Amino acid sequence: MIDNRKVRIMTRMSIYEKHEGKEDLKFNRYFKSDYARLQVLKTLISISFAYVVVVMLVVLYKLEYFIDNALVLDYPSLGKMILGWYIVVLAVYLVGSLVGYSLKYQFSRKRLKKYYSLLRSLKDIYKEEDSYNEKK
Amino acid sequence: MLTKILEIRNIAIDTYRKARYIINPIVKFIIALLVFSNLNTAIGFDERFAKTSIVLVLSLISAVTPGGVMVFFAMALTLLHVYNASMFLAILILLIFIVLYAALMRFSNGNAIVAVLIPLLAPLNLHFAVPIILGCVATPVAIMPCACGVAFYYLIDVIKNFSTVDIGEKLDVDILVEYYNELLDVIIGQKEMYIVIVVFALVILVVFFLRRLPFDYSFLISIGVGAVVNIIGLLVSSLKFDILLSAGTIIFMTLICALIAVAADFMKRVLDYTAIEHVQFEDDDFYYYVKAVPKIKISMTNHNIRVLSPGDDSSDDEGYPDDEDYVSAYSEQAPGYDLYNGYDDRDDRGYDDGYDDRGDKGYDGYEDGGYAGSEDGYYGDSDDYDREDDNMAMKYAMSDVEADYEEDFEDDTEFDDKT
Repeated sequence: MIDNRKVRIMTRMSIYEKHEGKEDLKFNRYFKSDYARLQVLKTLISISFAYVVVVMLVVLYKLEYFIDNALVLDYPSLGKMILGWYIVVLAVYLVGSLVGYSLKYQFSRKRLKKYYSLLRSLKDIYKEEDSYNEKK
Repeated sequence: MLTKILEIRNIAIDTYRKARYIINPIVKFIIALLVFSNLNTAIGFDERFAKTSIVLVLSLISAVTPGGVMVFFAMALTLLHVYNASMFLAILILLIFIVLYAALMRFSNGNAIVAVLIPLLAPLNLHFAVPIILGCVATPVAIMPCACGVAFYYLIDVIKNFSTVDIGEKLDVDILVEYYNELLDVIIGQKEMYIVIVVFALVILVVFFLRRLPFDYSFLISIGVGAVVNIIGLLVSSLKFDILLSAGTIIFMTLICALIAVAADFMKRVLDYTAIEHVQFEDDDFYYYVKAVPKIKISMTNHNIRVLSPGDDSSDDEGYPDDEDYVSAYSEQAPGYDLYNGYDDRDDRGYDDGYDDRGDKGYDGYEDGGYAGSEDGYYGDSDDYDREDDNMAMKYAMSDVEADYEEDFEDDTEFDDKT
């Protein structure tokens, strides 16, 4: 016998799993801090890589200047400047990604909460069914 | 006239909700086709990759995969064409693409397609619509793919100019350095690119934040202000820096784009959660193949429809709702306002997620013990509906004035389950 209540709940859950649920259930494997940290780490790697490429392009662009002034260049201050910009860029991206990914995780938790509440309802129906069968 | 428009809109919504799984890939296929054809026209140096068959295959794959794949194909196609013209230029473009991906595209968050839409729409100056729409439907993170799209557009221009520069067969370091310096001079000197990126970012932020403010017509006002920011931003920059766009073009095209954004935003709000869902699942006893038809709960924007007939006494005040009751019942409260529940269950991202927030127990909260009532947004039998008191006035109004709408809101819900 098909139970309409069960079908409705399962349909709703299935629709969720098909759309947002796919990603949300992946997030669910992590704690919020772990998830945010992992994403921040990925951002750190990608931004560092991008920064290295940009520095390389800039050095090539100013190659003539660097070759002409190779002996008189103030390397320590040049290094400090490159490092300073790196820290600034990195700080912006890391703070941004920390906030962004934390929010993303939070939203996914809200949706998951609804999903779990549906799951609980389903469990209640099963309990109801079991007790009914036992009485019979 | 207005009734006619509403009818057309209803037909459009109905068609879309029935055929979403066909329409979406077709639209994506057409976009991909235009993107790749445009690329081939602009920088189609390698005839092997400019063939129609290649374009068709790439478009077909892009139609059924996420937007990021289309962007990847567009970038790969660009590199292949550039490689044919100049290997050195291809290496540089590859490095620039890597930077664009690592710093911008990585954060596209489902909006990657924007990166190819902007270069596609920019020649028609319709790209002003993109940041306004993004402000409506996405988060400020969309600034990233938007910036990437603008950069991609100007980069194609640079490629067009530099691919013809002859650097000789022998790779002479001096010539290469000179060529590279000229190229970077042009890229760095693209003031228009930076201006457009900054203005688009501002537009996205303004539209996004205004839209969330709790006042009437926030979505229309946010789009209007976004358009104004776009116009002022570009006009001020064009006065200060020497950019190519004329004032007339900026104003006229921004206004057109604002209209497009209103239409797109409206369609997005209406269509997102009205599509028919086909899902499969199983329990211990059955396999279920369910077709879930969502109830349409469209909020309308203050349509002042008055049906006047000869001898109609508009002062009829016998407790029986007149047209104005109907109008007020349909007046828009806020995007996502549910006519039946009377409250907004949008999540924090600002849109209705299609599931209602009726308590943590997941029940519909009624005494009858039904778990998911008919008014819960997705499906259900109209028999379950028992909130007579709350909605009596509205029901009268609807039955009196527009029987069609009653059909839409009450009977248009079917719930098929085949086992």
